[in-house]
Amino acid sequence: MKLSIVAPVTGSGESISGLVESLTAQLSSNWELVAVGPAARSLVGDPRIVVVESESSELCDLVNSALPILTGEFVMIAPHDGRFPDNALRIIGSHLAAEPAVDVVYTDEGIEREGRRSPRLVPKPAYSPERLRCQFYIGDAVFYRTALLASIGGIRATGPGAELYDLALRATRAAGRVDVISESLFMRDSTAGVPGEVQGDIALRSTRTVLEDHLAATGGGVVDEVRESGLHRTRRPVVGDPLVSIVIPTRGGYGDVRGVHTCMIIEAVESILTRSSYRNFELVVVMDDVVEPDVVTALEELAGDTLRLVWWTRPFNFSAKVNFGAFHARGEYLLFLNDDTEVISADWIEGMLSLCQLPKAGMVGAMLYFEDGTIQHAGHIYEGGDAGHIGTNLPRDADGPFGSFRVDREIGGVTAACSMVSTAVFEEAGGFSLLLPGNFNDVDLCMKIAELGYQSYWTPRAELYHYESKTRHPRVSRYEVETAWGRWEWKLDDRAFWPYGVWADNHIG
Amino acid sequence: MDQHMLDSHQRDESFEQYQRELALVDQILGLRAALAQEAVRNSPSRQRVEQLEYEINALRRSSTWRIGRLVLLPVRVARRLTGRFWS
Repeated sequence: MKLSIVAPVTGSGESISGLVESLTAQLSSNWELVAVGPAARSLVGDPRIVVVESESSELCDLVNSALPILTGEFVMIAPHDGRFPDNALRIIGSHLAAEPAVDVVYTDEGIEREGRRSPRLVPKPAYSPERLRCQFYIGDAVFYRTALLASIGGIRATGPGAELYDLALRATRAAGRVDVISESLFMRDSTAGVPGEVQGDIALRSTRTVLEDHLAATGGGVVDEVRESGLHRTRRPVVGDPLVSIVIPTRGGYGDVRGVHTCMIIEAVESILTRSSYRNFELVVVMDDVVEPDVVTALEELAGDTLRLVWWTRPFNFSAKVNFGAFHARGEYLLFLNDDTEVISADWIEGMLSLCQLPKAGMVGAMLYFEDGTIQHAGHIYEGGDAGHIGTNLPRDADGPFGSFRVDREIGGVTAACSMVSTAVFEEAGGFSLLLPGNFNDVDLCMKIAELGYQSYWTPRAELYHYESKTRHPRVSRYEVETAWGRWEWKLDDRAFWPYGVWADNHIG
Repeated sequence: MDQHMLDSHQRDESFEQYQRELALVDQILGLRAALAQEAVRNSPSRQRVEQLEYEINALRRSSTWRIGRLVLLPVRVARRLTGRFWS
């Protein structure tokens, strides 16, 4: 598998000397380096380099002028300060040869650090199109099938600073398959920022235009803000005005919230009713028959016609109880919510619903905070044969690894304390498993849904408090562990959409 | 039996049917997962694979599964259209 590396040379020819040396040292010899630009002329005569002379300083002109002469099946546009480890092209070439359906492949990267021997690693998740519309996480270490690049017209003149983001968006849209190789196969020097950072007003404007084009081409959406950090606020639209059934199981219990003795279900429902901007919902409250009459009366007065109150008279089984709520729900979408929650963001339902409406969408989760404002949940992590929450105990203003707490993103699973799924997908997956009455039922449901081919998402737009005790140690039965692990132990080491390792040490159950 | 009790009885029966259908789907997906786990852990014995496949097929062949799916389709549609099981 021959690989082409195109190096735009706008400074001196010397600027790509590190790149040239790293290519010369490759264990694979099946590559070509094409230097293009005003300064490339000084490289004429070097047998390792094909030189394309061009007087333009525009990235699109430079790369597009090189495209017709490329002989590699895949091409990477390499920044001048980049270098490949000596096994990089052999690994990438082998992967592409073994996976002929792949049209785009990207790899993890490393960034040199001043005074440090080891580089800063930039792990990248598996192809995540929804994250990509919020963040150019793919970065520079990307090989595109050359024919694909030609078929989409090469690089567009989008304005400085956004050409490669635009290319990544258009090429991945047109690609049959996009893969990640989770090895650091490209190095940048210490002056390089993390992938996706945007510098200057012109680049910010170009990025906005690129994102608006992309959203228009992929079902619509709005660009709220583009940021120099590369963490852009874009959102998908809600399609239509579907009924959302908010299913809340409750025993009508009380707890102390900010020092006030509070009926949790009343607090949760009040926050939904007063803060939610999306209004087409029903509240399916599944209530144990031990609840005090005063609570029922207060709830009915508070929620009025929005309330669908159903009574649970059977022994405790969380899964069965929520399934009972789903049975009574009339909505096209189910939003599972614990009663010890409080809505923070007004557009929490829209944030989840817009992702839930994507083709082949599975579960959608939210950002949950403890009472003290620290993070409780930013998605599930399945690693080392265990399941846990991402972000637990980190401060509310934490960006997360590579800004991952600030962007919509694909994820392996989410907590049922606040999650949305279409009713059809829920039923196709058999609902919550009765075999898991108290624990791991959300992990199991997410796994089942993933096995059926649906993609789960997490969004920071949906922010809620979850007044779960930080020190709570739920009782987990041996039977539940055996059931959940008997099904899914083989999937409890899945870094696909969370490649950052255990970001917080908090296990589920 | 008055109308209220009749409605309540019908609702309970419908939920039981709904729950049974969900549970059957859950069992099938659980067995598929267990089968995949066997394949990942080690090469499962032919006997183990056949046993799990047999269990999956038996569930799919069961009258509860087949009748349940047929019976529940109109129930689900009616439930959404009319909100009949309002409690």
